Amino acid sequence: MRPDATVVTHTAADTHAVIAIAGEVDCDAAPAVETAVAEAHRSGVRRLVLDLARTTFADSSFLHIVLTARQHHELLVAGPLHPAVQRLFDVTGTTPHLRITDGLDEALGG
Amino acid sequence: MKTRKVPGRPLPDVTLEASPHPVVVLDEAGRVRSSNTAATLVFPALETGAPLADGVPAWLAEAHARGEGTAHGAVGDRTFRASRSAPAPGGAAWWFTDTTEQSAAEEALRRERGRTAFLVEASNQLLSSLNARRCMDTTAQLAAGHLADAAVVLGPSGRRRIHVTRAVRGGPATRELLAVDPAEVPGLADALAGFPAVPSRWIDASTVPGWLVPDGFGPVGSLMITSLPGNGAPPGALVLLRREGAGPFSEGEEGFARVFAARAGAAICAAQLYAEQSAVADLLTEDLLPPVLERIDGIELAGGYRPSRDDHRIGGDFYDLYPAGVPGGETMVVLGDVCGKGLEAAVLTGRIRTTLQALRLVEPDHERLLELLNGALLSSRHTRYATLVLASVRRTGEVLRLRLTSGGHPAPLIVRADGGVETADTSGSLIGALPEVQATTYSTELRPGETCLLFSDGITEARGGPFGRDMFGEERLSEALSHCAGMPAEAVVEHVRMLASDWLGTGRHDDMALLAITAPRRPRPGPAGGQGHGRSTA
Repeated sequence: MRPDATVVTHTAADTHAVIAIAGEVDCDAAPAVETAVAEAHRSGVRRLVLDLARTTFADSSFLHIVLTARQHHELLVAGPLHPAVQRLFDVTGTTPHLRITDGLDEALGG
Repeated sequence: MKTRKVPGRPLPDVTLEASPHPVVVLDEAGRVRSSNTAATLVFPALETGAPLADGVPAWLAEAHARGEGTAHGAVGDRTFRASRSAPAPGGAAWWFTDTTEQSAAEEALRRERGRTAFLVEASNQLLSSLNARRCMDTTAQLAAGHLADAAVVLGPSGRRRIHVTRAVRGGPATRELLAVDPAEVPGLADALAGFPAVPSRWIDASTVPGWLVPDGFGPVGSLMITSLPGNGAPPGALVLLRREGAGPFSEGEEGFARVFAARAGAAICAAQLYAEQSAVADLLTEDLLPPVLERIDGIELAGGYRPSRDDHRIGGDFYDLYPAGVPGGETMVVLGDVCGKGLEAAVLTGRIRTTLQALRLVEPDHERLLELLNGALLSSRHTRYATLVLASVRRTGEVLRLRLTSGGHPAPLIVRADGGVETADTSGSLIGALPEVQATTYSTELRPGETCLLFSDGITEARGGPFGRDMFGEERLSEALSHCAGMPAEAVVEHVRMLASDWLGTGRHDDMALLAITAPRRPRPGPAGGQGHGRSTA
């Protein structure tokens, strides 16, 4: 068991859902995130906020979830992003295609 | 059982009559002294004054003669438990409780437990093999052993012939491929088509054709047919046979046989799908294995690929080589990482490789090439994507002119002759998920002994090290590469691969792919090589 297991919390309001992820999202942890996104999708919310302020690492399995969620929701990524996460978006050229905010407040208000 | 003695007086008849249970009172000599109406209804032959044995079944008379306190047995089609008491010195009274329903419930419970245990055992045996043929053998043997005297598994059926697996109780399973018509057996064609079974009492056992019955089985008394559900694959059928005199299949037995058939069908179908999948996987893997790299037109190439240890999974990292059609032309290599694993990823890898192979002939510009590739992949239904690096190499004398373009992939590293390591200044977006892609191409030259290394994030994200969970990282990769100046391509790949493997130890890892492009220190003199042939690229 890794010391910093990924925590996924999911709070839903009528119009938006927030999924906060703490720790590392690799292929072992991705299914938990995928489940939370699927739940948000079922609840029918328009806006989905991924709170990545406490995400310390993410790999391509996470990117796949983000790109898929982007097709169904108005997707916002709440930062500030950890360098490893920023790097994933930068290297894959996805940063310009994502709405990344400096914090959760901004994501919810924007 | 302890009996309580009641002093001297015979039991008044009114008390006996009030009892809902049959009661028979005997005198010292074992003759019937009195009995209540409930007793005479059960034992119509009872006569007051006659010996007990004349009016009751033998099991009770014998228990009485042996002086036992309780007895249990059948009377007609019902069962009773008898308890003895001693109402007067020397005499005895037998009280009866009807246990027919209770016995039936206990028997049903025993049968149900037996069936559950059998299903568990059957599942264990069926699922222990992913070989469809062995699954059918096991199905026939289990059914013959527990549900009937013999069992026949049919299917899957081909165009004209059908696999027939037969087993007699306790014997081995035998299999034949027969050109027979299932319609000869009433209900069999329906079962093979996946339709519900015909109740067995409607099937005339005497019409069963000889090919269905195991050799030496003898005349068939009764049979039942049930479908082996295919869950998407073509279904099979299970035929249960009983010998003459063994009695027909009850409704409960038919229901249970169908439960068993559902499990067996699922196991057989899983085995068939597995066989199909592994055949497809083998075929694809064969086609997708990275090509052998060597020196091409004065360009040294070496590749290393270590697939993730998830057995039998393909996809993930790949690299490929598209040699120049003419000497002095441009050779292209690609190294990429497809999101996901398994067949879906393998199919995407195949599409990328073949699309690139065709597109590069008409479009030399990397950025345009990636746009075209993106368009080709976007039209597919899946949101799977890939990241990749394109490298086009042309030799000009002893210098390699290199164009590098990243499509959302970690940029290649270049080790210079003095051991300095640079990151190629190229970036771009991943392929197959976004409507538009952009990319910037980096052009450079490799002098003799210099190497450009393309790698997948399986290398940099490999977890291990002294604490077992740190990532190998790009810094360690750069450091490793700084010792590779002047090495042949093969040695560079080997060096990096060894360091990454040591770092990993025995830990789990993703696919890892490496591809080195090296300008040889002493280029082989070739007839078409030489100065002035190369065209400078922007």
